[in-house]
Amino acid sequence: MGLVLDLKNVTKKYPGVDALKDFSLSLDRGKIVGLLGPNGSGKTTLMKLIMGFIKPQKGEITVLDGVPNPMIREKIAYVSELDVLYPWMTVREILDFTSNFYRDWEKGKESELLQLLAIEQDKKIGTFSYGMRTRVRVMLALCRKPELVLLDDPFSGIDLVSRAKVQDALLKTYHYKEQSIVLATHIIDEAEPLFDEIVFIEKGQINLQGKADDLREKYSKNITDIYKEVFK
Amino acid sequence: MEIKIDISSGAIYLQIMDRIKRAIVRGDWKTGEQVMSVRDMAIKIGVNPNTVARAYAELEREGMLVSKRGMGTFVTEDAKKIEEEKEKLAAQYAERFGKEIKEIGISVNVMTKLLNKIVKENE
Amino acid sequence: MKFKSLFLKELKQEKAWFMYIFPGFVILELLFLSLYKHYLWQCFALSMIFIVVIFFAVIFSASHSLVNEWKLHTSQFLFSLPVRGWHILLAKFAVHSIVFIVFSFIAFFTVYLIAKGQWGESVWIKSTGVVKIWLIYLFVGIPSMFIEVFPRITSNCFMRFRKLIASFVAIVLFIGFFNYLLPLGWKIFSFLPEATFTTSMSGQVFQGVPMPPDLLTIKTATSENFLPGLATWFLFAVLIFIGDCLLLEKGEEG
Repeated sequence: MGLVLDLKNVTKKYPGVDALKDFSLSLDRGKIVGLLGPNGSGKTTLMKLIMGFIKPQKGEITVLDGVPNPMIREKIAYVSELDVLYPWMTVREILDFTSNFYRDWEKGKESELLQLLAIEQDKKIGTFSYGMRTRVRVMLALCRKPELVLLDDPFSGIDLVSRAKVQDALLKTYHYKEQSIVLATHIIDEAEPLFDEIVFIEKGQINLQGKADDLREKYSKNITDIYKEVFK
Repeated sequence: MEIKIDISSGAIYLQIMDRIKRAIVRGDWKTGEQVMSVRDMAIKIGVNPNTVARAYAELEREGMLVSKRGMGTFVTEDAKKIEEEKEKLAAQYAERFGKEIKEIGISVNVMTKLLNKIVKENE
Repeated sequence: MKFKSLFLKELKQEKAWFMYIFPGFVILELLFLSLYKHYLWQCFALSMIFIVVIFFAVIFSASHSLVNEWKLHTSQFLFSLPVRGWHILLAKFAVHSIVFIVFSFIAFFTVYLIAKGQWGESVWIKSTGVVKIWLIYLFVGIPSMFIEVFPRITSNCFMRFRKLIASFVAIVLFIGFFNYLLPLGWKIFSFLPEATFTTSMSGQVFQGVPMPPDLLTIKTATSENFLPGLATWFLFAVLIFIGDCLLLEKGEEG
C-alpha cells in the first residue's frame, strides 16, 4: 500500500505565527482522511505545503513518494478554500480549460457530475451563488482520477443542498482502494460517515489521530462530539 | 433493504453489521444470495467504502457472509448458522427489553401481558 | 498543448483590448488621418502621443493582469495546475506582446501617413526608417513588461510592506541598470556596429524654400552606445524574466 503522505518534523512559521510546529503525519494510501480543526489551526498551511506552494523552514515532506513540485500536481487534485475560478468563464469553458492540463481527466465523467451536482454548464461562473461555485470547484477535482485529492474546507459557507450534493458526488466518484482523499473542515456533521481516519489539529500540532470508528468506539461519541471535547 | 446509519450512536461498521444481520435472519437477504459490492453499498448508505469493507470482513469472520474469490460476497448457505444468529439476536433484544422494563419497576406479570398485547397488535 | 490553452485563456481574458479598445482606437486614428489637412499639428501631436500611451498602457495592463489574479485568488487555481511558472508568465506576456505589436503598428503607421501626406516621403520619414524605429520601440517595450512586473512578483513573496518592497525593488532595478549594468554592457557589446541616424533634406521644400542638393545631408546622430545599450537591455530583461519565473513559484504565501 505505502504512504500517500509523509511529513516529518515540519515547521512552517509566518511572521508572528507558527502555522505548523514540529508537525509529523503519515497517511496510508486509499483512505479518506478528515483533517479537523478550527480556523487558523494550520489546515490550509498543510495543504499548501503538500502542493508545494510554500516551503517549510524545517522538516521533510514526501507526497506520493516524491517531493512537492509543480509536476507532482498532475497526480493531485487540489480544491482551494478560496473562490478561485474565473468569473468570466462559463462552466463549459472552465472544464475545457482545465482538462487540457491533465492526462487523468475523464471526459465521460463530466455529464455525470454535471447532473449529480446540478450544474448548468452554459452559465457563467460569475452568475453563481457561492455554494454553486464551490460545486464547480469540487467538480474540477472529481472529473479526474488523481491519486490524491486535497479538499480545503469545501463545506464552509455553503448551503445545505450544495453540501449534500458535494458529499454525494465525492462518494460516488471515489475510486475505492486506489484514491486517497484529505478533506479539511471545521464543520463535520453529516460528513462524518465519509471518513476512515481522523486527524485533529490545533495550533499547528496534532491533537488526536485515529480511525474514525475506533475513536467512536473508544469515546462512545460521534466525531462531532469528540471534536467539541478536544477543542473545548 | 434500508440501511439507516445513525451517526450519533457508536461505530458505523458495527451499525452496518447489525443491520445486515437483521436483514439476513429476517430473510430479506436470502441464503446463498450475492450481496451488493462494497462500493455500491457504500454509495447506497452514504458511508466510506472502507467502513463497509470492514463490516463485511467482520461478518465473514462471524460466518454470516462468505466471499468467493473473483465472484463477490454471498450470504452464507449455512441455515443452522443463520438460525443461531437469529436466536442470539433475539436473546440480545430480550435482555435489553428485560433490563429496561426492570428499571422502571414493572412486574413480570405485567411485562408478559404487555408483550402478548404487542405481539397480537403486530400480527 | 498546455501552453496553448494558457495562451487562449489569456487571449479571452484580454478580449477587451481587441473587442472594445481596438475599434475605438482605429476610428480615432482614421479621424486623425482624415482631419490632418485641417488640423495638422493637433492630429500629428495626438497620434504621436498615442505611441507613448500605448507603450505604458500595455506594460501596465500586463502587470495588472497578473496582480488581478492574486487579487481575485484565481492565482491559486492557476498555480495549482501542473505547469511551470514561466508557462503562465509567458502566456500573459505573449498576449500582451500581440496587443503591443498590433496597436503600436497602427499608431506608427498613422504618424507616418500624416507625415508623408504633409511633407512627402523623404523629408525625415522614410517608410523603412519608420519600420526601424517601430522595431526599436518594440525591442525596448516588450522586455519592459518582464521588468515592470518584477517588483510586484518580488513583493508578493513577503507578507507585509508589499508596496514599500515593490517600490524599493523598482528603485534598485532602475539604479542597478543605469548605473552599473548599462556601462558594463556598453563595454561587453562594444563589438556591435555603430548606429547612425541620417536625415537627408536634399531636394525638399522646407518652409517654402527649396533645399539645395546635398547641402543638408546631415548625419544627425551617430552612436556607438546605441546597439550595445539595446543588447544590454534585452539581456537584462531575459535575466529578470528568469527571476520572475523563479519568484513566481515561491511567492504564494499571501
